[in-house]
Amino acid sequence: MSEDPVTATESSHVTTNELSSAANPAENSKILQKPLRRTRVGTKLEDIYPHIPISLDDIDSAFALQEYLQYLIRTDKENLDLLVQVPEGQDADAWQYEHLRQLCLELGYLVVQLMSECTRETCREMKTTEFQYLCATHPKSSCSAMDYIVHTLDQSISSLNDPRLFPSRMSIPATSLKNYQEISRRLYRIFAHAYFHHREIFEAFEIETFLYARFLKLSTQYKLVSKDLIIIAQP
Amino acid sequence: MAQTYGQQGQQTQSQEYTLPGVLHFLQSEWRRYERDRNEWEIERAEMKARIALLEGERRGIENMKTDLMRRVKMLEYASKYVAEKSHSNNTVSPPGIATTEVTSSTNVNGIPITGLKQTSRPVSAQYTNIQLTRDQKTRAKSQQLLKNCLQEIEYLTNVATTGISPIPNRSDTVNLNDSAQAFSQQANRSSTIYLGPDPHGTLSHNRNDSREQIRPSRPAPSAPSTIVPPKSSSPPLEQVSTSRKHVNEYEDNWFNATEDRKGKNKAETAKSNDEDEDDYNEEQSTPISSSPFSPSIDETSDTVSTIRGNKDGSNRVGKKEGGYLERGADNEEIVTMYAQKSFNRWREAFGNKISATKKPSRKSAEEEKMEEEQLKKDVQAKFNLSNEKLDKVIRTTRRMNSHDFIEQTSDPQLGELSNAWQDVDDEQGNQAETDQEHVNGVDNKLWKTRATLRSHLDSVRSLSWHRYEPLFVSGSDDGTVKLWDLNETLSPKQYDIKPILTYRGHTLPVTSVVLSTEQSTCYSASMDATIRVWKIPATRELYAPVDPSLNLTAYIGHTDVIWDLRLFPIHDQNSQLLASAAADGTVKIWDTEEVGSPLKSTWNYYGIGHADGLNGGGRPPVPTSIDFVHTDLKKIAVSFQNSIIKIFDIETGQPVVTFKSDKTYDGTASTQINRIICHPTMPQVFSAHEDKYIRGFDINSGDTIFSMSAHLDSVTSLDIDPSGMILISGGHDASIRLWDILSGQTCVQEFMSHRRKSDEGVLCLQYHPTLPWLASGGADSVVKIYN
Repeated sequence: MSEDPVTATESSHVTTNELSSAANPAENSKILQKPLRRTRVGTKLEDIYPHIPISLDDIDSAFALQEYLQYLIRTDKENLDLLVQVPEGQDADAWQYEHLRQLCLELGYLVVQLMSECTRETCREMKTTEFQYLCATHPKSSCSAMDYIVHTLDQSISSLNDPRLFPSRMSIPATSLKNYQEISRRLYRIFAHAYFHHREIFEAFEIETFLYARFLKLSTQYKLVSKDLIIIAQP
Repeated sequence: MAQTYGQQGQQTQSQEYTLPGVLHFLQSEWRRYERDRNEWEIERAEMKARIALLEGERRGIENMKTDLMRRVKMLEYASKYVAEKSHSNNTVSPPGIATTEVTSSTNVNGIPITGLKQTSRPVSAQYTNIQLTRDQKTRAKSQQLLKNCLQEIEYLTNVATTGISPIPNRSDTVNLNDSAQAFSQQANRSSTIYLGPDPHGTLSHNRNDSREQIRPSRPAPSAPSTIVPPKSSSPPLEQVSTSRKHVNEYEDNWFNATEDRKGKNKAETAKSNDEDEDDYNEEQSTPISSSPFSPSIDETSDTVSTIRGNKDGSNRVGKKEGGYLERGADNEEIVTMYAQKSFNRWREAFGNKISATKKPSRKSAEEEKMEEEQLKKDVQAKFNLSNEKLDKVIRTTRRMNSHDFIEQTSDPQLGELSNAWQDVDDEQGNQAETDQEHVNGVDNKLWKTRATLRSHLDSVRSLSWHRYEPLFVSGSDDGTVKLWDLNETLSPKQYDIKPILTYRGHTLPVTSVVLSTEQSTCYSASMDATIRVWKIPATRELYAPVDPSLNLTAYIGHTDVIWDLRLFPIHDQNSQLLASAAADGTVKIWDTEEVGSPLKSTWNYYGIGHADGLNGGGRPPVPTSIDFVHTDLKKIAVSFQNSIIKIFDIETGQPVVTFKSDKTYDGTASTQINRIICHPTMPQVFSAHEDKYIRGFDINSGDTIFSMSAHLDSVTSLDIDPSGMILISGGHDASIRLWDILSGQTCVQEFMSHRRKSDEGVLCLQYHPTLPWLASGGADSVVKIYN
């Protein structure tokens, strides 16, 4: 754990751990092994995610990157640089993949918020500024904005979960990388629709989650969405 | 008078009947009868299915009985014989002869002589040393072995003169029949018994004396052959030749296996296997390394050695040896049973490695012990024996020995060899599993992964089947509930299975879902402290327009994470109860048919009407799981974080019974109960504990029925097979295990299922109530379907 601190915050945790290990090595080893990250049945909401510092090296699981990303988001979702930057020694494509999964997950919660306001009556068509978008799942007929949003999200999730495109979460086949752009471009429209038509919801959600900021950072850093498509005003 | 009065009454009544009224009455009656008839039909079909199941089970048990009988007979004979032998034999032969015999026998067995002589020399030297230090009894035994060895050589030389070349010859395999195949399987398997210490080579001779007493004869026909009656009809030539064939086949197998291993490619082996093997490969693509297996192997061989070493009770030795002999016998089923066991053991070892725990696979040892004990009992219980059976046993034993021998001398790289064998063993274990399936029919069928459903983005915490249709809902940490329709029966293209609907509405992870078949609705509980009610649409198409009307309502009342939801087992027109347990310390009962205010009652650990902290100071323990008592529908069982299970009266909300379920509770959540389930027909409740235990309690008496450490890590989920025979459990060790409820703690099947994330493995399990399907959800965001 101590040889290879992954990030700045990580290294600070390491030093505190080292201090405690100097004081009582036996106890420290127990601490390193013991705290389980599992969520036990009956836990209260405030205790669900214990504030135990985790280093990526400690996570012995096939889903280490996902766990680590979720941990970073839980601890400091405003630290976008840290969030988006690929952890040392990790595959950049796999890291983006985890980001996209997480994005779809959290976008689901934005959709929940939008559902109260964005209905077939209020938004008959999927629009951001001027263009009307047609849903990729049924390109011939137009559908309401909410249909578009939900279908796009569902389709993105199903392609991210498609074992033919992404057989492993450790290494991503080069042929599947183009899906990143496609997924990102479509997901961007969801943000854009929320921004231009349901500004209040968008902003309230953004303050809480920093999801759009993270997405923007991710897509500019890894060129997932081309610059001219970015239409939401930069804060 | 009274009569006429009654008649008058009737007349006046009948006059009031109108034609439409009567017609209506008749129609409704007719309809009622029709409905009843339908119900009866359904019931009849169900009963029929049940009968078939039970029949199958009976057949299985009968088979087992005959096997055991056979076993008993063989053991009986064997033990008698050993006793006789050990008493009658007194002369000691010089060890030098023994070694020469050994070499010659190896020669005939078809192994290059040059290499053999070299390897046998150190063995013989040690053999003499050990021989000298041995007591009289041992000598007698060794003497016996040598005699048998000589006999064997005689047969073999006879064979040689009849023209079969001593070099392994493929043409020999032409005559291979079923029994030969069965045997080669068995031989491979038997190899695992002896393999453990082999990597240490001859060193083991010094290390393990008790082994030594019988083992030195290993190059020749070994211990079990003491049972060969000297005057039994000399084995026909054919038999010997088959034994050689086995050798060939065995070696072939081995070569295949090594090749595969080298290439890290099991394609070849997979080809020769059934789909089970494929699944298996898919699940665990990591190449098999020797390390995970060695502990369990050692363990087995240890038991072997102690058995062999125990000379005082010669009777017992006989029995035990008989046990192994018996495995060598023709009986497919036993063979398969054993294969399955070794396979399981291997899996367990693998699981150990994954979870990085260094515990030896305790379970397998337990199983072994149990079987041995049963064996002993059986032997004591019954005696009678036919000679044919015995002959068979002896033959197979001898074959076994020749294999044993080859295994010892033919290859220098024993470590690798053991791996290779392991592969072969696994392979055949799989095959054997399917064999068993064919033999035993319905009741003993093993669950195989049928489909892997990927769509959730995070751990799947809960799932619930439709009662009749292949339809289920799953709730996940990603905050969604998904509806899956498997009606388009599971095609080989498993990739294409997508959820037909994703319910979004919760603002935090979903912890529990239940599906109400009668109401066509589903309920989901979440960390956001709400229960949401969703409609299951009648038409199901992918990417249908979003229909906000499916979001029926939300029950708000809890103030913290809701952890469990259960539906009252019986639905009637006016009420459908739903129970929820939450981290705010309360259990709530909702009546879902009540439109305005569904909440019926609320209580905490102490029962209804007790405010927080009244009784003990501090907050009352949090409920973790609930289940309606199926045998007494007025009651509900609730488990709490302090590892206590209480039965509450639903109407009064007062605790009725408290179980002593907290035997291992240490005051922290690491010993809590994770889930409880009530038996559908018996007054029993089962609990899954965080500290690996599964316990069973009698609801009426409150007694503990059993308590067992069931998994390598916390047990998270439980379900009971609709017939009430099988208890299934899933744990954070990522395995799913099936337990026979009647016999208590027998593990019927075990398989690794999900991959671990966040120290969590399997999170939920459910049998389909009417179809032979099983679903499980895990921390790896995947739902798996088995059948």
